[in-house]
Amino acid sequence: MNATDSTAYPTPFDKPIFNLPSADFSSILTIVFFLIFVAWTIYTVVVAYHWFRYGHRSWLAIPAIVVHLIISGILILMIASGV
Amino acid sequence: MEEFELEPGEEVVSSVRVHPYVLAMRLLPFVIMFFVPAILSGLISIFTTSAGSGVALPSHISRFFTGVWLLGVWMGAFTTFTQYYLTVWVITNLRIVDIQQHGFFNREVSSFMLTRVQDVTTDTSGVLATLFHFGRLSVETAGKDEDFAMNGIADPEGIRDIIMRQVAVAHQGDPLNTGV
Repeated sequence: MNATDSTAYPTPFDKPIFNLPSADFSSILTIVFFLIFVAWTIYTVVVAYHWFRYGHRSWLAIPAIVVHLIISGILILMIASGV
Repeated sequence: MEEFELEPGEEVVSSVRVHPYVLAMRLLPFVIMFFVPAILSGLISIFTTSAGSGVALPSHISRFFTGVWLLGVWMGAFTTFTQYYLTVWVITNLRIVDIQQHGFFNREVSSFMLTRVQDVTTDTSGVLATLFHFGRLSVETAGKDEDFAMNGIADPEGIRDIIMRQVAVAHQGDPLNTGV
């Protein structure tokens, strides 16, 4: 058998009849990031409501919310840098 | 106070929460979970190096998933702290208000007059509870089967003394003066 004879090799696959939708990994990450951001926003609103509504006007309410916003803001920036 | 209005002449004597040691124990799982990405990353690098494989996640993707994990850990820890802070016994000169924050959408507020207090029991059991001075405080009230109790509160004996002192004062002001 001649190695240069192309007919000795199996023929390539035919073109598919239809193409499956291709998923871009980067766009999936973007969607996941968006969903996480929405969940975090809802969580932050709920937790802030509880601190102000049920915190009995404690001085700790504002620092607690500020610390939450700073730390989770840093983590959200970290997530966004990976998208 | 938004949840309960103080009556005329009513004053808040003390607010009681669980001991910070108990809070620290509740937060400990989150501290451990905080280090999981670093441990996993170290293990993956050890295995890929020993296997001679250069397979590794791109740095931006690993940063993404690490960030998601840490955000979840942070939100869990902050929820635990919020629950700790919002669960409180407010002792006034007329009554005790028991506020239990079981979750963000599960909150229980009950109060009972000091004149109905029959018995106050403290229970400090265990080495750590004795060392850090925390324990269980339960209050039995007249005319109700339910006991009001809080576990892991700081200085239970001191709180019991405060309650008993206020009970005595409340009974002095009680026109029936039924005694304790």
